[in-house]
Amino acid sequence: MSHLAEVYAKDLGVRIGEPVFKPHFFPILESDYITIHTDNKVSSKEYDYWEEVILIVKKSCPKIKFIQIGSGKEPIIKNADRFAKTNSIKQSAYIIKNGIMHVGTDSLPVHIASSFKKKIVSIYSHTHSTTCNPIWGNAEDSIIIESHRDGKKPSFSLKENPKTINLINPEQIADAILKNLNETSSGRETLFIGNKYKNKITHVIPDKKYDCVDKNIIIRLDLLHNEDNISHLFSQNKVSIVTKKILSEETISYKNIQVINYFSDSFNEDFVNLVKQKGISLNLFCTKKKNLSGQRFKFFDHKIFLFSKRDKIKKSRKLVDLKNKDFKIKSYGLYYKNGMAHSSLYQANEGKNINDIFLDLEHLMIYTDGNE
Amino acid sequence: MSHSKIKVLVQSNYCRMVTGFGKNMKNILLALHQDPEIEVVEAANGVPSGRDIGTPWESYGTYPSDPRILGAIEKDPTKKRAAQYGFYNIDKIVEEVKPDVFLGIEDVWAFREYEKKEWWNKTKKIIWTTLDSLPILDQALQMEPKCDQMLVWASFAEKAMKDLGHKTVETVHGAVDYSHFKPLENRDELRNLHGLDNTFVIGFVFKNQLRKSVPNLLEGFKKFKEGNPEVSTKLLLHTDWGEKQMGWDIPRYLKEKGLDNGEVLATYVCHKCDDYFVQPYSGEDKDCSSCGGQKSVKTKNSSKGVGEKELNEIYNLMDVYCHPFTSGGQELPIQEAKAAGLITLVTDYSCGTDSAYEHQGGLPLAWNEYREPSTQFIKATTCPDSIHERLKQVYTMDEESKSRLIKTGEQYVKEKFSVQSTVEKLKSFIKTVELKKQAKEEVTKKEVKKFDIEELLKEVPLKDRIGVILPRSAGDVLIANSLMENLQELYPDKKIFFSTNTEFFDLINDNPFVYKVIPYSESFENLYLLEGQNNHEGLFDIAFLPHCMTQKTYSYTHNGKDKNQFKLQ
Repeated sequence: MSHLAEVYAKDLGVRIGEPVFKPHFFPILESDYITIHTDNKVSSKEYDYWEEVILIVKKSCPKIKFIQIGSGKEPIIKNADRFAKTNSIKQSAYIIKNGIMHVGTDSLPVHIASSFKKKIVSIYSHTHSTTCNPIWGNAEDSIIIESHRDGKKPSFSLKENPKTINLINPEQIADAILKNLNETSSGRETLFIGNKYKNKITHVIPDKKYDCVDKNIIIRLDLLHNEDNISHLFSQNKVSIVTKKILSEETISYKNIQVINYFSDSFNEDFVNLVKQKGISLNLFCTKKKNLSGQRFKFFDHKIFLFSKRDKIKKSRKLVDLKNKDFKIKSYGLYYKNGMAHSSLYQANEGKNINDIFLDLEHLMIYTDGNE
Repeated sequence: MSHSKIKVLVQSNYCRMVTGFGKNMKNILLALHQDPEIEVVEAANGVPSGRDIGTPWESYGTYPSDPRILGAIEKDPTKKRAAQYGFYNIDKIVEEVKPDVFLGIEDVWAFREYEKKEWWNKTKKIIWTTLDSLPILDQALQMEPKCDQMLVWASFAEKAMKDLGHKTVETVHGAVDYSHFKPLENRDELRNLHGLDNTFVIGFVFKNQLRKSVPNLLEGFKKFKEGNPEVSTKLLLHTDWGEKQMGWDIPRYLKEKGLDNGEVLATYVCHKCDDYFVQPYSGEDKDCSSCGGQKSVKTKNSSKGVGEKELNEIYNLMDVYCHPFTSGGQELPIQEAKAAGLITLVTDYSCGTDSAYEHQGGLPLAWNEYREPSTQFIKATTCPDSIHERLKQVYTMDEESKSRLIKTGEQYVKEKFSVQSTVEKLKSFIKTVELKKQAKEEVTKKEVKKFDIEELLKEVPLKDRIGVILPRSAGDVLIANSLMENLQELYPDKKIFFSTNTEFFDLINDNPFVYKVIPYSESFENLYLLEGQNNHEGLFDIAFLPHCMTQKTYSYTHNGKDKNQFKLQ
């Protein structure tokens, strides 16, 4: 294997030994805790679903504690019991040394845990895990999880879009932690996680007047064109509008409109010009492929994108198979409809049309829960 | 798509860029797209690859999106420039598009080493380039035989190339869609609106670059004002005033010339509602009085200018157009100004010879020759006295002569610079080009800086020093920490100096086998500096740079499959 330690050892002409590294005391009251660490210095290493991992582990082992370690600059891992922000890596090392296991992305704390012979679950993607995995301690104590990267080789890039580390399902990590704790696996199966799953977006389908304050909201006039129920939303929110029809001059005169996404097979020139005059950003989506070139020619100074609902559903269906599955949905988004807030378009429409899932797929996490 | 169509891949500035090449690209592509015999595809320089750039025709961005390539070019200006010209992505685009004809429209150096590309000899290619100075650039002379047709934007370049034996070079002027540019009937009303009634307005529309002779114009304007105190006059500079790095710091020059800020006007455009304003320059990022946009009002720049309707209005605010410059490829604003009904005053060097004379609707500005220090090309410095004289000539010109000169200019632009005439010429070249052949490469060097660390090392004789250089990162330093005991055992008589960035000192300084941890310096990347060369004794008896394989060349991964015949742990 071409591990970093071996490369350095060969260059210096010596064997690999043990590092000499002394931790500094840091007050910790908990016992039986797992240290967890995420690294946002290298974006392609940053895993987005740690909170889900913790949730799955805690379902089987509710008493186990997760202590996040770091300098405080790292993103907070929701569901961790606390974030022990330390002033030095030596203090973090003290917390690692006194824990029962370390979990995290490929980073210094994994190597420190390895030098203290701790149990480890570590994840890799943008590089081969064999080149940088934990090298000290018992091999059987370290569970190394490498993303399948859709069958591709590592990118070796500091930034990836989308991030291949996120192809590791949360239950893979959770089950590895449970294994290290001598517990049975969770039985959970993640079917799909959208690239925009963590985006917090509030959609308002204006069948009623909804009270939303200080939010980024999207008014979905494309789903129900009712301009009477939206006027109150503009004063205290940042608003985006999705529409298939032109809007009244009164509506587009409201402040705080960030963008209008206008879907049509033939755009209304007066409306397009009016929106521009008001200084509002406008995205044009042509819904008929054969009209695209003509519309782009006619509105040359605007960028026009092609949008086909049918193609989007078809494409999404290829990404996840939901047939005969008792699936569950999670999302960071909210849909206001029928006087309530729902976590997906599918739920807002009372689960009547499965295509709503495919239209909304990039914002959803879909999974089955084997233990229920 | 019919197979009888000629597929033309056109590479130039993205057609929505507000640059001379960008505007030309837009006009050419809009016209070629409507031609039933041609299928046009755009390779847009300055736009990242992999995006739908929303053109009516098939289009590709040529700037790399791959983070590895971006990382590699970021620190190397030569590579970055090549990337901006599409060097790294054009092969992929050609492979995908499979054009019948490649039409490259850029400065000639943009096509450096294109002749080495695999597709070059298999594709018909036309290079349509701007050559703006004498003597003609060597790259142009070398490129001409390697393409099927070389076209130049200015007739002075055609003449110079032909004089040097390159007989097939032809002039095709950049396309000006003059349909937007015309004298407006409500011109007086417009001038009133902007507070310019009863004012003799001298205008200059330009990208703020050092080759535009702004100080000369300011001096000429000052002389005109001083020589004609009875004339109420203003100078309108439609340019990117905020560009002070690559262009002129205009406010500074106004101060230097003793010109009142109110006498020189700027045009501002709102990035939200596109409305424009004419007023003395007062900085960038102003609030818009029209749409209420905050900090949305700026002077124009290469990514955002006014629309063509509005630009025509700006020309119509002027009484005369003055374009002094050191050299240029075509200078589209000169033709736009003529079409908008203005007499143009132009330096009669370089492409200026295509628009400076009376039969072209212009008046020439006299200039003196100087040599550009870096390139030794002949450049023009326009005489402020000549600017003064020509301004006075226009100001005092009788209406009949003025009208005749303006009409001549309008007609000249229609005949010589229109999109239609340019596209017709281009099409005839596209249809007649034939294949030719040729092939080359270059490497860039890195400089190594010297660094003095004698102070840190002096307590140990050089013969006893071992240096381990590992600038980053934390995990690597901890791994290297585990090697120090064995290294000391191997060299028991030597002292180990470990060099890393200070933020990693904590990861190594507990190790008793390291004599001293010292700060890393980039100069340590040079092994000759570390171990000595010729009269330089070096800093260490033995120095190791273990990160060279893992961080500099990344040559160790081997898909994680390589083996060792010996045990390292």
